[in-house]
Amino acid sequence: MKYLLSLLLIWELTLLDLHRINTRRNYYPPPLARFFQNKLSARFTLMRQTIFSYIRPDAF
Amino acid sequence: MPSKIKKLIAVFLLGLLLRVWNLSGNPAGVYVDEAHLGYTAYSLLHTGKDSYGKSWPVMTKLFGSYSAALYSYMTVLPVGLLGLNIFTTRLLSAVSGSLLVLVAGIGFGPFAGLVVAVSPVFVFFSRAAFEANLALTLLIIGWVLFSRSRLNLSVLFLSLSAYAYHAEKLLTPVILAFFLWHHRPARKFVLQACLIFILTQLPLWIVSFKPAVNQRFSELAFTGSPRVVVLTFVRNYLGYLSPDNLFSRPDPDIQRSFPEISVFYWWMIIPAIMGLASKKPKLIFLTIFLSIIPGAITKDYFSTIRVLPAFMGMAVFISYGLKSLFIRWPVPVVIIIIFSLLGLYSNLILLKFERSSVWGYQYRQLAEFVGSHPNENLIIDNSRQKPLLILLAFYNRWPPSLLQSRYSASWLADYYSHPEFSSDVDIKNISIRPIDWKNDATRSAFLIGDKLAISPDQISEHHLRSVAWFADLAGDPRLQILQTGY
Repeated sequence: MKYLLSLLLIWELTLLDLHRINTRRNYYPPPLARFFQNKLSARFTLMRQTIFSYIRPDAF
Repeated sequence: MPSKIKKLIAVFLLGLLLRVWNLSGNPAGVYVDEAHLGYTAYSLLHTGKDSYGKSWPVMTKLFGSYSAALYSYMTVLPVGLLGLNIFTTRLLSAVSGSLLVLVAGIGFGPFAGLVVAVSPVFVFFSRAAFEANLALTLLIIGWVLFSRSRLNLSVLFLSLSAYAYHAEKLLTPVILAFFLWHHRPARKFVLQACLIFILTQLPLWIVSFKPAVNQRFSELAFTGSPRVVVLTFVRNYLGYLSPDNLFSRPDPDIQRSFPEISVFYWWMIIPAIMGLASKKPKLIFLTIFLSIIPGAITKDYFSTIRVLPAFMGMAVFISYGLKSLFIRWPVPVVIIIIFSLLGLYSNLILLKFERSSVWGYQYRQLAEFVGSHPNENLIIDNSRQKPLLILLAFYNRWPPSLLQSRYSASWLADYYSHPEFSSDVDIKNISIRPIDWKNDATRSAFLIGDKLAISPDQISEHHLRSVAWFADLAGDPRLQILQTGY
């Protein structure tokens, strides 16, 4: 099970708009760009949105 | 120095830093509503009238509606001292947002101050000229003064908050009634408070009952069969209590939110639940439930600006839970707050670049172009941005008399009965209106518009010469300037 979850996580991490991340890096001061715009942080935002979308009392 | 005061000073300084850092550059540009507030202050300072020529108005005409005037009156001081610019227009909001941190800390404890200092919603609305932010601070000051038994002062601040934003006009009488109900045995005080409130609210009520003043509300309120109205209201109302909207998704209006963070940080759902489970102060619950009503009766699905007092109530509950968490696990709490501040910094960067066109960065460059071409015919297409005149007047600091001269004495005599708004304007050497290709392309002029207003085919067909492109901060071209061949 844990291997399956690890594979799922790795797969999920590839599902990103790399072009968008790359463009966004240009906004930051160069040393900070990699820290704030990377696959993990972008994926975390998407994961957070998916999980919270299940908690919507107004969705009727 | 007592430790509570040290904590209050620390959270106040943190809140101040997050609000005033790069205040004039982020959000980049200035929104039309901000330009209206700043320019009205400038106009009041120099002429004692707003940009329409109305002397000392109770409410000011804002394009097709009327807006509260208190923000502009209080901005007269910074504009008078430092001149009209983005910083002085936003300063009052940043200061009142920072004061809110202090007042929340005094009234509900340093953790409440901390939550208000770092929460995205309070930081965001303090970084631009929003009357709602000023109204919220005045309302909370009134509330805290009431809890400290400074009753007359409390009534004055509550009354002032109604002059700062529409939602508070509905909210303050109910909150005051709740306060007075608690003091009903002290009849003398109750009568005195009612008298102060009625006397100070009278000018606002007189103006508010004019149908034109409520035009905006008629536009925003949803209509339909009673069943549809009830269901929409319930759905909207629950939307403001949805964890998804509060902790994950930003406000759908991209001019009123950070790109990737919501009202509060995602992890704040944990202290919020803990806080709700631990304490149940009636007044905070009442404020939350009442404050949502002005937002829920409008068509917009989730409009954070209309329900700021509700978020203040929620921040207090979050602070109760956060305090419990901090007592048990201080290090993880500090680490997650530091990570949240890094997330906030990241969102400030994204806001500055990705939302610069929403905040009208390109019109700043356009205003400079207009200022440097006083004698040429300038035709500016206004299909996408209707109230362009106020942006040009704001950036170029046009004399208020120039704008005021467009309105007659008879029009001003009936100032509060004019909800109509015409965005097409001829002023100085400038025509703000859709381009009339048949006439405009055959005379000497500069044509200004975006890609939709002026297509490549039209450029080649009319032999237009490209003079400049104004891009937003993300590098996308937004406005083009073309010269006719005559």
